[in-house]
Amino acid sequence: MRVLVTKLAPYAVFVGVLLLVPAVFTRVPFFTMANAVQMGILAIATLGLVLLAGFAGQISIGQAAFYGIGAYSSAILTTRAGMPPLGGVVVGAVLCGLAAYLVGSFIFRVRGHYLALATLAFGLMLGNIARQLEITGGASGIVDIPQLALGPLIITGDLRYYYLVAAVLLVVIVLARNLVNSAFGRSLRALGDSEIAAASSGVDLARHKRVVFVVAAVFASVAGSLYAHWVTFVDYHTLDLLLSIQLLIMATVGGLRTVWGAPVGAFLVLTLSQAAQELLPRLSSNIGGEFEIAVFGLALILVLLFLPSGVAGGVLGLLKRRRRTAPRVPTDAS
Amino acid sequence: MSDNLQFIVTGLATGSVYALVGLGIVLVHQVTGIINFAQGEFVMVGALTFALLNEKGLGLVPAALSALAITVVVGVLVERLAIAPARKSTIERLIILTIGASIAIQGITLVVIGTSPHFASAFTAGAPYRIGGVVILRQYLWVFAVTALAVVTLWYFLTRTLTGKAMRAAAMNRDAARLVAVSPSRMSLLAFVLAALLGAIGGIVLAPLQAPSAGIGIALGLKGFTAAVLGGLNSPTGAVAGGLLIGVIESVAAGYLPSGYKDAIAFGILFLVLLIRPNGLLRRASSVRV
Amino acid sequence: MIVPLRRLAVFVIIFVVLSACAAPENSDEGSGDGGGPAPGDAIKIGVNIELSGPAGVQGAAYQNAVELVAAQINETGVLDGQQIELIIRDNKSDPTEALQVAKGMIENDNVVGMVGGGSSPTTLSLVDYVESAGVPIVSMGSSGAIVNPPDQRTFVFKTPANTGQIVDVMLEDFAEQGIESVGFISVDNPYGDAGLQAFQAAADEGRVNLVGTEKFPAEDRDYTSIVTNLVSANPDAIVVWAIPPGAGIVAQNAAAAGYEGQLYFDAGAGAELFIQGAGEAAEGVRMIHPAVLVADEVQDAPNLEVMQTFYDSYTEEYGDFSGFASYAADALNLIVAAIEEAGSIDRTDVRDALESLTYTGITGVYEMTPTDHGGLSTDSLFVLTVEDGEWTLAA
Repeated sequence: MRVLVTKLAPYAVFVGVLLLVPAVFTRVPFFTMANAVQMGILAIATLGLVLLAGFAGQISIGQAAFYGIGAYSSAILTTRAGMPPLGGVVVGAVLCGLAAYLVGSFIFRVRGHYLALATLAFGLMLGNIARQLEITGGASGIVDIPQLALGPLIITGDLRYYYLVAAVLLVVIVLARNLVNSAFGRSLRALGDSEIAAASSGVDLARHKRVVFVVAAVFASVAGSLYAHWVTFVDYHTLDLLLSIQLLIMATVGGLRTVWGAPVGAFLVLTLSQAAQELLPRLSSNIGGEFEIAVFGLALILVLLFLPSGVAGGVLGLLKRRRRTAPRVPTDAS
Repeated sequence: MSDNLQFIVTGLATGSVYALVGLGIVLVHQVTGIINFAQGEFVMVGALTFALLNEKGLGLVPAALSALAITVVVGVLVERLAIAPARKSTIERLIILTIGASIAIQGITLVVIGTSPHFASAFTAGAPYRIGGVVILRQYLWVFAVTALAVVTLWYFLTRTLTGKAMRAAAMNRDAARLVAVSPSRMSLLAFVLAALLGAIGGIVLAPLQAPSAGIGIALGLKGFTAAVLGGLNSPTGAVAGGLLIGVIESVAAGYLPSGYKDAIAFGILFLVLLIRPNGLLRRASSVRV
Repeated sequence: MIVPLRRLAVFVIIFVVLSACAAPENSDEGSGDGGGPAPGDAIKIGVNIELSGPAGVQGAAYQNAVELVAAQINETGVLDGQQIELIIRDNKSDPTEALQVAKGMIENDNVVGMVGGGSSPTTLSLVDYVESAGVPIVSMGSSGAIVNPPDQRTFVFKTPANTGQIVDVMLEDFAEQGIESVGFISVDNPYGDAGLQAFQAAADEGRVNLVGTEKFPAEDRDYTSIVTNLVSANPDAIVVWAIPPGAGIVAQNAAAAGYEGQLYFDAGAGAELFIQGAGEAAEGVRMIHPAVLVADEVQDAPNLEVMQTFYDSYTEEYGDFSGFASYAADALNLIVAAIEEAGSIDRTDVRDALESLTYTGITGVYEMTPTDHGGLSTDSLFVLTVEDGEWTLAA
């Protein structure tokens, strides 16, 4: 019983937080439900990156590519092939998984910097191609994507969409946590700590890397599909390098070694972005473009230097430490 | 035929700038082991500062010197604030740190200057030269000359001066270097200063050709990575050759394929080289160092 | 402090239950279900423009224009002295951002109507949304796809002349100047594509001899290769469909390549930034543009007075004039005129009024009809050229 409660408590708290969001966001003028939806969608994509870059230590700056594959697949399948939206999400995820499997079979020939560069190049190539091809709508993109429907129920409005995204996020977190706490997850962590040590204890490096790469890609794909049906419009900006970097920042700021890092990171970074967009224009009249990345960059550097396990990681570490140093309840014997 | 020659000449001009960027990357990588993802931003800061000052009326030389100075300051800040404190970190963390530095620089530029492009005048005014149907802008000649000068100076510095040799020593073996009183952290700072200088020089000669704005850093940085990787991340001459090659390929591709694909080609080359020949086109692949 | 497990479990359960009971405020989403501004507030009009990004040069002019016009309108007010309030947001030249901005303005700010997007890409991404939300918008984009097909764009209007009209005037000038072969270069986005398609259609109809077409991505800064290709085909004229800085760079690249033929630009080049970016290469180029850019030279036009008044007050307030300004000024004026005409701020009433409005604007005389939400004729377009570094009426 005690074990069950300890296991479920984090999920319960998380569900509570998710349920609280609409109540808070609709009352605080700074936030809107659109923010909440965006946080949820990006948290799903970031979760994949946490597994890949955090646990397995494989830095990828190309996740936006898979996000984009999911978004474009949903867009193309629902607008050109008349597929129902849910089908589009599933097919998109499968396509993405296949693509990741394929790429993952040779991209891990390199590691460290080379891997980061390779994922970067991959992401950019895909973005560039998406802009040229006719099937992706070229530079104009694809408009008029139908809204998501669960059977006969069409999901309209940001509030309802948020509940959908929150549900998906919860499912994905449960999956991720189970993965992390399994034997596979332990090998993954070993891989992330030291590839040599892991290899010498018999971990199949290539297989593990490929699997986590596919998982990260699928998560990103689902997030991309959700995005496509929410905004009802995709173009090559969806695959932008900035998105890949944003995901990396969310993962890092939230905490690379904990599943909770994804939602925490997404929340913090998007809040920071909003705040920057309100406050920074007061500093200079020339201001323009995606200037909030100034804050992203600084936040990233600060977190890495002073709080390397991220905010969620730091908080969890704090909790663990308190539990360990907590005085024992005196028993009758002492 | 003269069209192809034209593509090649233009490609060599932009390629020279890529070569300078690539050189900066190789230098930092050799000495510190990191790939400086902010290298492209050094080019941007140099180019934009120069163009802005030149536009406002400042002469060529003072504008260039100011641009160099400001870029070096940025380079020092990056090294001292982001790299040095994390010296003992894992590679993964360092990668993310330089990415953070890169977007911080770009973001701050966007805040201070905004997105508008700024126009610098060519170093010498005058009509372009036409040789056999090929147009050679006077600025191209400046690009070639300045790049050649920079490369030669760098070579001289690295091989003939004590500090340069010390830097190469630190690149080869940090601990051994320490033993002969060479400070790796000082060398790291020096490497960043040189990288900032090289980037800024590239930006300054490029500015009259391509009006710079806050966003040009990313693309230039990427072409620089490609140049550096093509030449093998540890070879300065390779980076130069790689840069020129990329410039030409890109220019020729733009002439024959829909213009949008030329970037995909550069990235595709990077991708392929990384996977097939991560040590560059010229060397044999080495085994993974344990 | 150890928290006994039972207490922890109780806390968590209470927390979750309370969260589940916490109800969001304002759960109605107002997507087209009769939502809109409440009477008595200031009349809110959204302005969805490119204050940054590749099209930032347009947004700056738009903002100046709408602020100037709003100040003038608020001197007397609308509908018995009510003030109008502009809600100006930056869409960063990004179609997705433009859509998000529109959603925010319509759902959160309850605007009566919207001025924007400021260009074809940033408008086309949101037309379906505003159509289903039932909010009238007036866009500054030039592509005909913005207002066609009319039955799917019942709430969408635009102020610049249609791409087809610009092409028609250009072709007329070709005939007059004895130009037979033409090369075409455009920016790779819906705005440039509109021009390209119009030209290709004209070529298919035999109205022009198109010898080559090239495209360049909006963020690129150097087009030497593709310009070389076009120049090699040696056409009598090269048509450029781009805004600054791209437009200026093409002019420079063409001059560097030694092109001796005539350069033509569409209205997108109508700003000082073009001349600044093109430098000497700007001399002698021709552009199809509304007359307002050279308002002091025009002798006779139905909207002469309106044009000159705006030109004078804009330059008095801001210095250099930008051709883009008139589109935004007209857009705002159209919405306000429609509100006056309809006598209400109900979104559908305003739209109905817009559809039958005849309005003497700065760009030209607008005659809106249910099938023509652009309202301009080719009479509003003139041929301009650059002489001594300034735009002037071409002979």
